[in-house]
Amino acid sequence: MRKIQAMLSNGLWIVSFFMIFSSSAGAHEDGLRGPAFSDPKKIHEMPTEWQKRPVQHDSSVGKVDLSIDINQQLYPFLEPLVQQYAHEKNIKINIRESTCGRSAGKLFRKELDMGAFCCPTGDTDRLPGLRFHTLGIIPIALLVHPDVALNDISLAQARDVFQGNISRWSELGGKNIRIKPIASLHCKKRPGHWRLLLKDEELFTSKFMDVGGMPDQIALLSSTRGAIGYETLNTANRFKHKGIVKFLTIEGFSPEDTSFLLSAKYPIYRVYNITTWEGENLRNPYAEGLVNYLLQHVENLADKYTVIPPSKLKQAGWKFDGNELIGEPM
Amino acid sequence: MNTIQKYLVRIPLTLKMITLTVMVGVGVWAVLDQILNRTVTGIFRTQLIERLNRQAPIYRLGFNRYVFTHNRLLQLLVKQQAIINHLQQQEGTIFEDMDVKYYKRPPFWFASQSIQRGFISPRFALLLDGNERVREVYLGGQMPLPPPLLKLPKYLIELSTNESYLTTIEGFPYLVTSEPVRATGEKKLGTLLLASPMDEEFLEIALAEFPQEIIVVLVRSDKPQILVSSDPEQFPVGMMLKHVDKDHLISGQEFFEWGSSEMNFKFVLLVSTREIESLTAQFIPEVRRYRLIFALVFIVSFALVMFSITRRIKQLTQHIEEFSQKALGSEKQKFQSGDELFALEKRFDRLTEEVVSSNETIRKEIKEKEKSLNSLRTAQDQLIVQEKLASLGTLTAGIAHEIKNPLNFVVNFAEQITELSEQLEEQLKTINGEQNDEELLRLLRSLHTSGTAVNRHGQRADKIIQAMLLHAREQSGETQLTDINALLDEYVKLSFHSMRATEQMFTTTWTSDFDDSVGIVEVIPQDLSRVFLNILNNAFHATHERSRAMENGFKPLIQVSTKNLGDQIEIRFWDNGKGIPKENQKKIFEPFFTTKSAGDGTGLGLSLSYEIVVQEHQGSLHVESDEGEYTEFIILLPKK
Repeated sequence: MRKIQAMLSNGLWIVSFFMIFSSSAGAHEDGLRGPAFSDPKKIHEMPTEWQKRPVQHDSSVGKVDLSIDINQQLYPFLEPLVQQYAHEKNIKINIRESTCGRSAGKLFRKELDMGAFCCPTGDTDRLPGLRFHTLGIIPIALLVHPDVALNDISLAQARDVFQGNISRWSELGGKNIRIKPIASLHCKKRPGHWRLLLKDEELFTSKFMDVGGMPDQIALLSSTRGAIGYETLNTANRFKHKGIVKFLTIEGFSPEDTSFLLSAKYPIYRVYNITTWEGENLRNPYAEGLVNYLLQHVENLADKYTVIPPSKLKQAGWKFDGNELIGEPM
Repeated sequence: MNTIQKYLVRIPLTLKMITLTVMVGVGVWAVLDQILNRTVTGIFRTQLIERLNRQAPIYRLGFNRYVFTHNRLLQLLVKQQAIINHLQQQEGTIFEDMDVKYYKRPPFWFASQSIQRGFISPRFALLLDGNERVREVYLGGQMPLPPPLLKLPKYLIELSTNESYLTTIEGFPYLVTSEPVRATGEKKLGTLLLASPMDEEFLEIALAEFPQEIIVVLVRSDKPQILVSSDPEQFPVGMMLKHVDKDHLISGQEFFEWGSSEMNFKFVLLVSTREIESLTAQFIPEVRRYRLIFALVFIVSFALVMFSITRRIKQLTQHIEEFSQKALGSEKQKFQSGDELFALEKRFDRLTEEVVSSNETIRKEIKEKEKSLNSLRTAQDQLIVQEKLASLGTLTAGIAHEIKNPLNFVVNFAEQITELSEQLEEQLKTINGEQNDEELLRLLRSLHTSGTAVNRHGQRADKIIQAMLLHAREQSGETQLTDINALLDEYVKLSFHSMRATEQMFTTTWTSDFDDSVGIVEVIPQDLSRVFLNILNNAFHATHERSRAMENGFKPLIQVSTKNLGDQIEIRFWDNGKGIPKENQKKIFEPFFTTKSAGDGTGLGLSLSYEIVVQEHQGSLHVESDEGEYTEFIILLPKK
């Protein structure tokens, strides 16, 4: 019986694995694209003692009903909604602008009721009792220095550029300027985002400049001739005071038009996730209420932030496990 | 003008203006100096902040690179065969915690000192076996290994793999980086882990290539408290960012994104403003020097301009003085030294007064000349009138004289006719007795009556002629004993008949009330008769005028009366004519005053009358009148 169960279990794993990775590789298969999502069934092992431990806020937070860390990407988008929810429910919410790594670290220490990520869930993020809720996906644009004469690039060319196979813009029909890839290889433990461009950091050219922060990346892209990088248009706009950059369409598909991403024609994107805890000593009804509130309101704000909300993703055939986006459309 | 003003006007304008300019200049200098100081400091401050903002990303990238280098070095080291062999040898050996080996010099499984210098200098390098137990430790400094590092949680090792992880150990921020050591076939033999407290030394090594004048502090994102400082003496760990003194500028407070960390921080640059002070100290004196030169040039130029202006003002004052003397005949005045503008102002004021005075004089002269001209015109008119009157008098005298002789015959023969008719009646009575013819007697009596009437009227005409002759005579006569009542009666009638003869519809009546006791008075009859005639002519004229103006019910009337007052006699002329307005009552005795139209009156009648009564006869003449009601002239004459 156990063998049968084990076989079934293994079979399900294989089917899931096949479904996830076959779909993600389908549209842009060239062997260089990394996984878009991780396996939702693969929960990180944690000691029993840890699992029994309730959420305990950091002493600096004080007494609040909810403590949330929100990734920089999501913060401008979510903060007003969270404040509005707190006002409507008359509760006190501690909200901090953060990073995926910090959210992950604090969730490991069970110091947060909710975390927010700008990337798909990584293996190390899937902690026992932690549930992920996708708020939407957003195109990642290829950003270049404003002097770069090109307006469009193929995905293959972009990969060659970041691998260092193409080192001058003139090879792509532009000016005879050396290409300088500048971006951030952040969230290395998570699938998706830059991994949709090149699956492994080892594939990126040694001349690639890894920049720690988004503002610095925008500043460097705008000030370095021949520079190319990647970020969302929202981020480029948010840090436009650091410098102006322009974006390239990929094979004619613009990151401004979310319909291309929805139909999986546009290849690179971020996934916005928030988390809640499930289980004894961990569940917070306010957190669950907030998730529902955000899911409801994100539909209205989606166009403003060029985010594709879950409802549209589901309609277009993107795969969900509960509230979590786990696969691209077939 | 107060004392200060008096003193000030003595100072020449140029000197005053230069003094004022210097005073204002000094004030403006002081203010500008302050403003310039602030502006320059502001500009330098802005430039410094801009420089900091430009440098901040470079510092962050440098710091970032140093952190990434931990991974890079580990990735190299874990591929070394020596470490793989070493861990393979350890596999399966019994190990107790107390058996942990510590190295103060780099062990063979770690990078040598020379390699570390090219990469990083970790504080602790830990070699963990396949069960993630710490077997060997390289101490990169004097600091002992914190006990928690000997029992690292599994998740921390996982999170620090392939990217550095920032965690807190014993209250201090630590950068932890790990990399699994794998033998061929991907079997994990162990883990090489680097741990370094993020302290002053860490920042110093990470940012060794950068200028030390910029202080780097890592500040907690959730509360602005310094976590790590490259200059802990000035900015110790735990210090709140708001307590950074004003002598330092803060910039580059960017949110520092880390791949994985339990904490978040801002990468902040601090720079001393002493550089600004130094630059300002160099810049300001230069500016002051140029400003001083400019000020001196300005003052000299200004003085020259002022000198030129004051010279022109002096010339203008002199021109005014000359004009005043020549055109207005003013006396030469001493030129006032001191404030030229004040002198001009004063001279101009004086000129204004002189012009006003001159204008007034001219106006008066014109007025007097106009008055003289009018007098001359009036005199001319009077002369014409007098000439006419004189001619008329001569004519009248001539005519009267010519009439008087035949009139004497008429009177005498009328008298004879009367006498002869009386004698003839007596003769007839004597001749015929009682049988006289009645018809003849009636005729004789009728002849007698006619003769008597002719005689009476002839005498009367003679009196009129005498009066005319008397009036026409130019020379004043001598005093005579005169029957005032008779003289008055005579002239009332003369005036009355004169008016009736010349004026149609003349309806004025007159009454007289003569006091017989007035008797004979010594007067100059020809002069007094002129008075009576003037007053009566005016009275008849006034009553007639009113009669013409009013409806039929009005009865024009003149009453003449005399009264014996003892040593005086009183003569009153009352009429109900149009009266004399109050304002004219005092003027009627003035020469040439008349209300009649030109040619109708000379304006001399009453003034002459006044002179006759008051000066010749030592009497008095005054008038009482109510306009529209009546007029009464009262003459008082002494009996002697």
